[in-house]
Amino acid sequence: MGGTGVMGAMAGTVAMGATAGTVSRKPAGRKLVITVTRIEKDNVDELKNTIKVLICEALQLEDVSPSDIEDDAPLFGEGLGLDSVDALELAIEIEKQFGVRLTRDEKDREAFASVSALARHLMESRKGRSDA
Amino acid sequence: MTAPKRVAIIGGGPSGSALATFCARAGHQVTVFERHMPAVPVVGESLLPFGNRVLDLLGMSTEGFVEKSGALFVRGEQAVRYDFEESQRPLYTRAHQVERSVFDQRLREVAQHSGVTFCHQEVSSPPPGFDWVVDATGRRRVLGRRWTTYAGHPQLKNAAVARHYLGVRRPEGAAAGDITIFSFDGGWFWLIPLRGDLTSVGLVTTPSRRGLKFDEAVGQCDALGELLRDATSTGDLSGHRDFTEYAERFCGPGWALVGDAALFLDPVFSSGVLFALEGAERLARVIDGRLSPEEYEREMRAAASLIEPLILGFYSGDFFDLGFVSAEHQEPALRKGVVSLLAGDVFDGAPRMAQVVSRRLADLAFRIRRSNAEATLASAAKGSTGTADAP
Repeated sequence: MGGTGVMGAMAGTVAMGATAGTVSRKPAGRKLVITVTRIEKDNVDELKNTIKVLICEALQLEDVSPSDIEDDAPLFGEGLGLDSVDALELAIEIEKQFGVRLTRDEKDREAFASVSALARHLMESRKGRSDA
Repeated sequence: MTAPKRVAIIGGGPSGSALATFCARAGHQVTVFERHMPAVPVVGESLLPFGNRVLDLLGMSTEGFVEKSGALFVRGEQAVRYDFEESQRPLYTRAHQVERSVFDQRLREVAQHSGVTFCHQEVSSPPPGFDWVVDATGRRRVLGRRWTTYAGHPQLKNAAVARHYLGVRRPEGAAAGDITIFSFDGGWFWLIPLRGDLTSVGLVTTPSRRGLKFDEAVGQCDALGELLRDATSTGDLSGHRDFTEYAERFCGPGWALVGDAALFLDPVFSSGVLFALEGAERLARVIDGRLSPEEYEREMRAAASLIEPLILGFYSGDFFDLGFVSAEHQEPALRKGVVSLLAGDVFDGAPRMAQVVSRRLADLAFRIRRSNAEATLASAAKGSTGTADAP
């Protein structure tokens, strides 16, 4: 059990206080719904788009829409300005939506460099799985 | 600011007295109807640091009450202590353990000092001649039941039984003044040090252990039994059921609900009095025309929605998985988020980590259990191949 619970379903939006980091957050309480969760073999653009939607929704970014995120822009530090807690939330959401696990080791950290890097990583993981 | 209103508050507990004080100070004519004068002992004896915001606004003194700096959670052989100083936003880091008869009486005196009239009377229907009638009767929800409907919670259907003792030992790992929660399969005990030698001990059971008697349960919990070995009980057991409820609406024309009469989730994280006080401060602003009823209700529900996953996580075990973990597996910021929730920092825009922990609790617990399982498998594999372990 978990998720937003009964109170969450009734709560609607929550007022946000000051947050650390450079991005501002949407009011909480909305449930993330992504309809496309399969990684299509040749459809990198669609995958990148889905990743951008996932980033905005899962991390509840307020002033950023999916189309604002450039494919190759850094996600962490400069660029989008996400932090290690965002990385954790993103890893959780990616695993839930795509079934691909992202850990703390080197290779996986490279995957977080940009949307393109993430898309590449997800496609490679997918290929690895179907070859097995 | 609006023209002075005639306000009737039914119930002289923390929510009723606090609401009365704020309304009277704003210039309204306030009468509190209370059936027990002076205040009698009730449960809800452990406060939270963020409850101090409203206590400070009231000018309420906490002199003489035991200072509480954290909480110890025990499950079998494992124990984890959280100190409120670890909150992400340590605005308030200390709370108190209170004998409610003293605490409630003191809150009433603050109200009386502000010009509130107390009427020693039991009320079962809305008294006539008031602009606002407020139900602050706690879990009895005396008038609320005729104004609105209440829903139970699909998962939370617990019952409690409590008693005071003299001569209870302090649990190992607890700092002076800590509340200790002993968790077992199907329920938990609270241990709240009150004053001098007095301790409140309560048993909360889930439906799976309904019918479990207090003394039986103590008998089954070795750690607690040891602490109570030389203790003597000072009174009868008080019983509490059906306390998890929330109203469909908190306000209507000329009526409102505050405290437990509006909403109560579960005692496990001691949030009841915090919600009573925060609700009272907000409802006073509604009565004074400075806050809309919708906003009052939305803010209370939003705060409850932050604590709810933590409560459900306690009963599911996820909360313990999050706590009983070695430092290398846990993001340090998560602990701050957990403590922020435990400290009651859930109003007026909770800190980001509290929000993340609240909405991701189950996922985080799952990942920690998985990490732990893999670490165990890895070291077992190393052992079986006979390779030397790294120093």
